Amino acid sequence: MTDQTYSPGLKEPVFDSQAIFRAALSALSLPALKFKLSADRLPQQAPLPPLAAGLALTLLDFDSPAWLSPSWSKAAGWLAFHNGVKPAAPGAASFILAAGLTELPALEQLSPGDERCPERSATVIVNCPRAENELPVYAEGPGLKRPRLLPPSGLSSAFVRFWQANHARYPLGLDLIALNGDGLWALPRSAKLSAEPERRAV
Amino acid sequence: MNRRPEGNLYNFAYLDENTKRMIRRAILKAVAVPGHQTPFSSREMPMPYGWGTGGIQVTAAVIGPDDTLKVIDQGSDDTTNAVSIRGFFAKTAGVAVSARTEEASIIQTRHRIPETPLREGQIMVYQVPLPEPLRQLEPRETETRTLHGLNEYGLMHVKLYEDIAKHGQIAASYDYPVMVNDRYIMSPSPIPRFDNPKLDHSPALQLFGAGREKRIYAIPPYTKVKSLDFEDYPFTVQSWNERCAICGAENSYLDELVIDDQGGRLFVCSDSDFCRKRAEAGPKGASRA
Amino acid sequence: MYVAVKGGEEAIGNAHKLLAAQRRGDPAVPEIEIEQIGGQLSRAVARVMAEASLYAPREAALAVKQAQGDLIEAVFLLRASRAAWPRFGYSEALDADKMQIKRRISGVWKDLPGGQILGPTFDYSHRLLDASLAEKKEPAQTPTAEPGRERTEAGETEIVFDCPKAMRALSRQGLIEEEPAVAREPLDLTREPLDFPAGRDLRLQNLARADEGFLLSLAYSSQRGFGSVHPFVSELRLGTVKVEIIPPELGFPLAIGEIEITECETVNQFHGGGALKPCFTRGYGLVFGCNERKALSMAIVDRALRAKEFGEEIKGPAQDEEFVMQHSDNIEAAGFVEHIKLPHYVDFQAELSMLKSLRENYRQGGGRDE
Repeated sequence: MTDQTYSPGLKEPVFDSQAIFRAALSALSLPALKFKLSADRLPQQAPLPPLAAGLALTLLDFDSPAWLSPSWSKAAGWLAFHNGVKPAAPGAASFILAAGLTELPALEQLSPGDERCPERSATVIVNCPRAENELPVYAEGPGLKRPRLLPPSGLSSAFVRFWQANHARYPLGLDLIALNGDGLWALPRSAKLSAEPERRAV
Repeated sequence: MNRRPEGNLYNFAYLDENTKRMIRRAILKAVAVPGHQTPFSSREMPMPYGWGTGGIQVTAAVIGPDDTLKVIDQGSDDTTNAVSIRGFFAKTAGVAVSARTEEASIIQTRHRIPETPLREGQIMVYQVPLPEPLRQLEPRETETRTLHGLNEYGLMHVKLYEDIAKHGQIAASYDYPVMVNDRYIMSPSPIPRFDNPKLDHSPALQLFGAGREKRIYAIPPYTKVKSLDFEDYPFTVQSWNERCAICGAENSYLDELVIDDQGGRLFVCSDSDFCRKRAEAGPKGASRA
Repeated sequence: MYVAVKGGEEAIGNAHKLLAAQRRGDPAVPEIEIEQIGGQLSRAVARVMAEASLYAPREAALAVKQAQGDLIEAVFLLRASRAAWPRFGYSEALDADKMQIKRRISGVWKDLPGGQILGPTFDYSHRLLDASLAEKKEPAQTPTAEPGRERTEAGETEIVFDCPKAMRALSRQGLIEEEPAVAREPLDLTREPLDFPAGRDLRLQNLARADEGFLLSLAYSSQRGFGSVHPFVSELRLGTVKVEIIPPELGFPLAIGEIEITECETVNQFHGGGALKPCFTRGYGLVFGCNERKALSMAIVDRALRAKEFGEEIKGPAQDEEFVMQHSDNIEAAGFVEHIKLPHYVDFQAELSMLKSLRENYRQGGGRDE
């Protein structure tokens, strides 16, 4: 337990979480497009960065066990205090919260759902720095009128391989929400990544 | 900004925050797997099952104080159920409501898609009575869930083929099944097949809520939605020889009105907003009563 | 003229006023009070609480009043209210062994420890209309009899505590199947949507909330041969039990109140099969309030639904988990059946065009109009 365990959550829980949810919904509907969130919607004194803290309180509670990566594990008490979030091993978690791409557990450790219930897969929420990607990567699939370049988020070719393996199991697979400075973007499992898109990109 | 309406016993948009979180998680999964029926623990709502409880729960989980809501039933903003649902959200969420398709950020609908083209950023919420497109062919949920999982849709193709053999056409006039993102067969809800082409690559996000059956599914924007057909029997939509008696529209879905006891009939647009706009723009009606 | 087919806010407002007037009835007659419903129509209130799966006598009485005595509508009102109330936690399992018993009978033992306690029941009454109840009476000043005194075969008794279960006589001899071990915390179908195959925990929860009429008919059908249940009533008991919770900060149970329940345990012949030896098997029913018909029906259907477990042939709908569980909820059923009152202009229009086009094909194919 840290002294931040009882630090405040959302200022206006009903309206802030609605705004944060809509950003996440837009992000999964229009993959690889970043949606900004204003700082006054987000908890500023939490043991997690504001965006991660706000998104966690919006989506997680006692019905959605979560795994926290090592640098964020100190936030477990705060999440339990506000929303009753229960900790879980990576394979049993509905949500994976990771402080960085390097802190993600191996893909095969996480739940991809099953054929009858692909919705029982984990959602990965990962903090990504606003930094150049190792190479330009495009997303294609539902929600994308044309291929779209992923926002600069310090993505490595290892991540692209991780994602390609994930997409290959469709309709099973993980869904990813990337926290990217002042906003978030997402990749649903339906999104395919490639260095050279089949169609003209935007 | 409109906040919690004064003296209201219930939370903003009626549902408590735990319930909203549960529905929101289901919606995000539904968006990630287009056309897949995602289970959710639907709550009893103050309206009966079959009257839009799924759509209402989806809208309640999505809506915020900055939204403008439009509710239609049979294409019209004035039908009893549309009035009742719009009133429910005006009361519990205090949001702005509008009949104008282009002004609305969320459109909850029963049985129609507006004639006015939708745009990116808009959310369509469909009320769904029977989410399982295979249900009439296989009554058991255990079976149908497995068939979807295995991508095994032979049953459906056989049924459509039998229709053609028997009737010379696919005998489904509404709730005409579609294939979403080349993976899941999906019920578009009981919209007439006239509206099916509007599902395909729509710029709007389309969410489907079935309250009694406890399922949510989605079509993200710009997603391939194909009405099932055969190469030699391609999918077609309804058309009329008549025009709308009010606005003169030739290419909108028409309601048939019985005007007397002698077999008199009149046709008018089912989409009341579309019709009003056209009528205001100028008199083009074939028979202006 | 097309305006006439649209609803319109004014028409709806008028419909609400007419409903309110219909509910109130003749304004010259005093309005019925919640306390009267709770006290004098207690079985209606019990049924509403059971099917709403919410033990709230006052709110249930209000619902009966508001619904004009339409009990399914009252169930609906109570369920819908409940759905938006916060959930504080889960209680400990009720201990029906510790029931304060008002009525307790066994159909398999003539006498048994604790005795047969007849209690308040219609069972031994003649179903003749009692004209004296139609007479207006002044409110009674004092109770006409001492409360709770009644003659039973076991002598004059009042409330009995800690009465042993009749089933114990069989379990001690090893003749009844062992109580199946509880592998996990029971699931809750109001939190997780139903999935099949469902466990017995979910089935029992579903049956406890189910429509009484539906359960009654299913139980009846299985007795008549659409199924294979030949039940005996080991015990039927009515009384109050304590509800306890364990607050996390205290760590020990705390009674927060009492509720009235009806519990039924049946025994059923099983001739053995596969690896299972011949034994009696169990059916279980538990309902809020005083409602023996439903507790019995539930126990019969519970046993019928265990057919697969015992390798029995599936012969009727009462043995079919998916059929029973998907159709037992009267709020779901009533909503969907009644929704066809809503306008279907659009779909009907589509069907009209379809029929015209089928007719056209028929004519072209050589068919003739009569």
